Amino acid sequence: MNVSASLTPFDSQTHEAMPMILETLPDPGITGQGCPRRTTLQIDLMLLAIEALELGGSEAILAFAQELDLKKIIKNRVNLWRMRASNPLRRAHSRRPLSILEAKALVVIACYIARRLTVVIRQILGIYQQLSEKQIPLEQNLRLANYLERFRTHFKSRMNSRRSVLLTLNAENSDEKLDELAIDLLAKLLFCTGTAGMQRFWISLFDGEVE
Amino acid sequence: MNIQRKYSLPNCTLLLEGLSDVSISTQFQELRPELSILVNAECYLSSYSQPIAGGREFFESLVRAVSAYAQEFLSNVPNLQAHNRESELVELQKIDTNHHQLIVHSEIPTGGLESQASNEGKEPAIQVDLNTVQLFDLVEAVDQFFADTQTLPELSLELQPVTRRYGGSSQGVFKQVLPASVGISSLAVAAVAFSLIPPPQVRLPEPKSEEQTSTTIPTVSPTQTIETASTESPIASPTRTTSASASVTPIIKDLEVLVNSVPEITDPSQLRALNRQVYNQIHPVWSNRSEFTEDLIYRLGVAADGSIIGYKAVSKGSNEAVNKTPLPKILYNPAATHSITKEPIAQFRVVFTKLGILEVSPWRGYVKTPEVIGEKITDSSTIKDLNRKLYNTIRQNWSATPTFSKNLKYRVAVNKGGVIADYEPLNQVAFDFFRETPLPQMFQSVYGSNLAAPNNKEALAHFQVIFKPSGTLEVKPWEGYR
Repeated sequence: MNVSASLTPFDSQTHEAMPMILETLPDPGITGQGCPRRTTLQIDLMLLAIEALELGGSEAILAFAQELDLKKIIKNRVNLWRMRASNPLRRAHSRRPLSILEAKALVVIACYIARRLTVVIRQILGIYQQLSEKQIPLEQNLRLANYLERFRTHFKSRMNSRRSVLLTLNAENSDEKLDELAIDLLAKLLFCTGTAGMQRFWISLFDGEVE
Repeated sequence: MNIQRKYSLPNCTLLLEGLSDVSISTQFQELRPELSILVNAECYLSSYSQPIAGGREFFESLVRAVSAYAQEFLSNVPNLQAHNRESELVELQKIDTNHHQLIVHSEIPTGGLESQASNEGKEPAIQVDLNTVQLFDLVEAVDQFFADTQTLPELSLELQPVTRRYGGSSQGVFKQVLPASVGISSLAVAAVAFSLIPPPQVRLPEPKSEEQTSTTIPTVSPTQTIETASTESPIASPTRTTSASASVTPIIKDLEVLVNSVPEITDPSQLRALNRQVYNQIHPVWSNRSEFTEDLIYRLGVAADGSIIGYKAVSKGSNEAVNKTPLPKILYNPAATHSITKEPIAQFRVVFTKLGILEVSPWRGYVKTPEVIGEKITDSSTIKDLNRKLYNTIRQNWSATPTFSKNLKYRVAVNKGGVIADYEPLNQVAFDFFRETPLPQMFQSVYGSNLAAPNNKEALAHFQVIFKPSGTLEVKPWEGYR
């Protein structure tokens, strides 16, 4: 895994100095400008799950942008917010598309944070597993309940409830559905922590989107 | 020397036992010798009391299915490679969001043609339920194996997004065209392949009589999209340069060995051009399209001039049915004295689908977006002029009512006189419906044939041409492959 991201490439005149870390992710063969909707949606939701997992998650995203030399792409908080607003579910959805380069940067950061949170992710998934097998309400475990509650709060405050019908979420059972979504995202974060997790997550974002 | 490799995670341990290839290991005294011949593979899962064991075929099938299922889990888009019941020993199925089932079939019965019929008799031998964390540990063990370059280095992680098929019969189901392929070599013994030796003898019994009758049904006329207008000459006659010292070159029989001993072509632009040459060699000679009962997948080694110098079946079924494909016929067959020594080769994945569709793609994908090769016309006013001219020519010749329902996209190249020099379909519909466009006639009227490759070295202007189902035509300057 290439982590020596701060190295300046020697052939900087040929390439417009792209952070080396992004080169581990191949360009998908997609047509059109920017990322497909499903790609932007999925990236934003994964970041939302990270924020629910860790207080100060959005600070961490910016900190990692600095650390991984991705500041050129993710310049500041407003810039980050605009990128995430490309998620069509957002209340503040902007029509500005998410570029492939921006998507790569967000994926790299999400995977680095996920890797750091591996232990927590495994623990919470393990707890969920046990409780659901024994059919014990999920609120019984504080750690799990905290994660789920924070996720629900983030989701409701930032996503447009009418648009989120797309995810088969509606008012009457939305809490239960949101919990399912939160667990599903947590499991996906676990897959991001693996040896090839970053590549796997990145490629999966374009499944069914290429011709 | 007996070697063991272990990839251990909380819920899953992979244990591989094998040997190192003596001929390789004598050259390098390595601390950690390469495990190059797999003897036995065992997979210990915490939710199953005994190890699941098997040989190379089992192990390759395991890593293929696990890798593909991991992608399916991440994207929720079905990945056929994960549940390929017909040709794989191992498959994975989703039970619910948090439960998954690993199914290991008993060995596929011998005889490829009969195996179709005996599918129902193939009892699932082992079924193991995994929760998501257990599944992850299995995926991670496989990925650690992939990352280990000292253990079966020819198997490495190769991921590609699942392709969307246009207008599939089942709405909303994504058919996989370029499976998230694990870089799979083939079955150790079953698929001993064959480059640089004469086309293999027919070893299989002839297809059953009912299948033979179907050979008379021509599904697709052997039409041809044109050869690339690149500067490379297609299908060269066997005038290869061999180094003087090559008189005692060992005959390389195995594509695997070949790949490891010569440089590989990875330049995306060159790959793209070769991709077309490969397609154009196979497409017109594949006539028995209705006979295919399963997707047959091969890995091809292709020289820089486009000749196919080796192929290897990716599955046992593909190996047994190779004589149904045109591959043995079009394999480049060098004269006995000419052997290819250190020529670089490109690798492609070729799929003959059971629906009669030919798919060709670079084995490892493109490392970056390819570009059109050859000299280009760059003067903007000339391009503008040629753009208008090309639009008018196509518009005048395109009168048929479209029967296609999606945009047909092509790259069309013209010379400075506005004469068509090349055209290349850019999406699948463009391949399928190219006869509805005036492009083949336009090409043919200039060159007398749709097959001939114009060996064109003059500067060209490239355009993207889109035929819309509404009858609208769009021509604009080429902005590169997307």
